[in-house]
Amino acid sequence: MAKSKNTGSPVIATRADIDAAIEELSPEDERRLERAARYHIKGLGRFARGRSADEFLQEATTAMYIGADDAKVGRHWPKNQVPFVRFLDQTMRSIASHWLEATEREVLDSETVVETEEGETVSLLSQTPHPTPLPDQELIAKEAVRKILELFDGDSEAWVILEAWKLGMKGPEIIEEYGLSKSAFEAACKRVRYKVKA
Amino acid sequence: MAKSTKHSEEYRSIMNSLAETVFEMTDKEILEEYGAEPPAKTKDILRSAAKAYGQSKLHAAKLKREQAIQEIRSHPFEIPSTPEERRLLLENVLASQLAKGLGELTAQFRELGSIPDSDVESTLRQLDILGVLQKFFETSK
Repeated sequence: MAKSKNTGSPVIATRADIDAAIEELSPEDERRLERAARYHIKGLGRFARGRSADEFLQEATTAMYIGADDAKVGRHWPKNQVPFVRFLDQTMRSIASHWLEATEREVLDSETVVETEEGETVSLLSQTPHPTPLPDQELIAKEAVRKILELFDGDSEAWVILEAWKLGMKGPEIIEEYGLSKSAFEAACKRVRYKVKA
Repeated sequence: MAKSTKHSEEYRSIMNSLAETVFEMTDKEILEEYGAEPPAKTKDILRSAAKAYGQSKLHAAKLKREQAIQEIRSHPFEIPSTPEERRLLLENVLASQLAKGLGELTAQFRELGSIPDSDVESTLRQLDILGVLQKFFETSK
């Protein structure tokens, strides 16, 4: 994967820089982005609203182009600090979070809007800082997590890693917390990727 | 360890972590694990996003230009009734002190006689939008 030099203050990429970065993508980086997009979309479930991984990649790229043209909107790639593929992945994560928040708010708003005595409509949800997910989505996600864990009933290392991932722990933290070697961790990740396809 | 309360967040966290592992793989590992699959089309996908974005920018620019043209065409102003009078007015405006700041325009209309009547009219409209005509009439009174 191409590395970016971290040289002081961020230099925001232009459209030409993004064009060039796309053309310079190696086949391996193409694969990384393809898989990452698929995993992200899979993780969103119904919140992806039928968008494909390809559409997700396109949306993230467009956000970067918008950011290149306008300092106030879009995503601004600091090309001297973050490699292109990493930034595109960060952009996908950011977009996913926005989709998630927007969908949760939209659906719950429709169920929690009330009319005041003065005839004004007020969203009860807008007064709630952290809305809860939809009940059916929760059940689907619960079942999906259970099924994944079930796949690794006889693989304690992979099982532990999955449990840690559930809690948002990162690789180095997991290695340290559970006393795994780096190679054991990577081998277990490979086993998980093999069974949990993107 | 922090306790996560939402299953959908846990599921998403697992998928995000799996995505992360892909970036941590070496090129060799990528090749070993996915080498048998058809090549990824990511470059084409990103290129199509670039193209679509470029086209949307072009479309927006065209739209803006059309709006500007429409604004000029629909701009209400009192125009001399004949082409000759309009040409004379433009000639006088360009010859006046007011045209000093419009160097490009005066250069363009140096050969006013060869300019079509329609261009004379649209130029007068533009000058009116810029407030030049109004100033011209005021100073000519």
